[in-house]
Amino acid sequence: MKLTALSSGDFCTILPSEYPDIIRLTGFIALIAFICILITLAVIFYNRVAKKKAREISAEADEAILNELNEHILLYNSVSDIPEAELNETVTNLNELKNRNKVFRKSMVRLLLYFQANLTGAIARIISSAFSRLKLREFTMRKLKSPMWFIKTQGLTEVQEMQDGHSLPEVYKLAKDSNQDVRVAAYTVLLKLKAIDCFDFLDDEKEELSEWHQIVLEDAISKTPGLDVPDFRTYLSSKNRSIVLLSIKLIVDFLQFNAVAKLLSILDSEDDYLRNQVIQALGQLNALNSEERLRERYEEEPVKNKVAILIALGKIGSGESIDFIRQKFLQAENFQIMKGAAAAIIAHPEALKAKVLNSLSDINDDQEAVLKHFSEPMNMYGIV
Amino acid sequence: MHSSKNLSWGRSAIERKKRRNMKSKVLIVNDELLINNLLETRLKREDLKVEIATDGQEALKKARTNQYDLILTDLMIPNVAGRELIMQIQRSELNAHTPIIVLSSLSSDELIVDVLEAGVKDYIIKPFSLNVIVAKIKQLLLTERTAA
Repeated sequence: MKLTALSSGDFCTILPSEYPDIIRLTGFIALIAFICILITLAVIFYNRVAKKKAREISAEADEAILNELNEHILLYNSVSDIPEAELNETVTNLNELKNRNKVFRKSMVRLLLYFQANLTGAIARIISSAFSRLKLREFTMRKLKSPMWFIKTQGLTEVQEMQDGHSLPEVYKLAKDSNQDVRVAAYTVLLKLKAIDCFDFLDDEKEELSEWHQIVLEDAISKTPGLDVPDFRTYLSSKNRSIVLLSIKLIVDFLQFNAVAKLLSILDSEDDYLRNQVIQALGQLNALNSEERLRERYEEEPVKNKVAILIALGKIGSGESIDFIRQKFLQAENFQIMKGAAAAIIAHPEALKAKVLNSLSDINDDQEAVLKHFSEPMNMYGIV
Repeated sequence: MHSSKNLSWGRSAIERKKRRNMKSKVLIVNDELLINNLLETRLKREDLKVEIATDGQEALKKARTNQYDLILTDLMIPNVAGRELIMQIQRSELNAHTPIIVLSSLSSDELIVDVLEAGVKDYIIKPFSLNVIVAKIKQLLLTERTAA
């Protein structure tokens, strides 16, 4: 049996020609598969080595940069406290580190952003000043102009963390980007920097915002001190459902009680989830004048909304609905309703709560256990 | 002839004097290495001894074997964490009365009240001012030293 050598174009020569073609073809395919496996393993091995090398360089970069920052910049109470000579030397050293390679530059940006996010006061201003002196802003601007959406969002995060007002013109452009993640990141920057017309997105955004985007925007609006917030009631009639949902959350965050009437009108909506959010908001706003309407709506609502109504009535806790809640607790058609009613009873002021609990003498073990559960202070955090 | 009472008082006074002259020892309990690094460098410049624990179990091990003048802890750390960690430190023989400062990003009113009622001396919310935290630590150490 003679094995013929492989030659170009001659695909079936790996096995002797006495074998049927199908066997020879199978052998050839097996060889190709074997070679592919070897290549894959080689690529995996190479990637692991490369990643290990990258981690080592990154660790080296982190150590060198942290050393400069901790020993020369972050120990002072303000930029003016840093001796001129030391400041110049440190900036020179940091520049040298920054220009060494891409990994060092990325490390520097990451570390400065980390400290900016975690520190306030004079140190934060020192870091901002360092970011400026090291001309890292230029790299941020390049990111904002990148065609890749995830690079743009990185750049926007850097602008936000460094409170870089000079980049606002570029940020306004990105607020009209075709990618929603980029737009939301741009809105967040405008809010955090308290830019002019930073709430225009509530009118302009036509696409549905995801839950996550709503959380990010709510966080930015509610946690930026000194932000001049509008009357969010205006946006309850938006055609964009997600804007309505966001506005409901913000009405609660900023305790805009004048929105209660408008919220009550949304209870006629056919959207179960929207009504659920409105019910929760009414409870959180302690909207006394909504109790009757909530009780009227109870029977028409699905279970989740029934539970929300009970909890909302508990949070309002005026006493007007206590008999209603008590009845729902005793006649609960399922466990969720019983839990909701128990939470609502416990949420009432002491005198009312005691009165109801004393009247509940003939309850079963499940009902007693649920009431006890919600009487624990740590368990009340969800409903108080 | 000295009574045993005078002798033991004398020994305590010597120990108290020794402790007053020793550098204060601070334990930082936090899993964020960069913050640990920064705090350690800064506190060492204030002439304090610093030890670090990156999780609750390590913190408890250190608290049970070493006496600290102050413990600075986060609430959200691996293994033993939060109120449980604080309570276990307070149950340790060596650090039952060591002042504890909490440094955390958790900011709910109920949690802060709960932790303060557990006996913590101060609760600092992240992001924090490095200058303020160092000033608080120094002031607390001075107060404790004077009381001792």
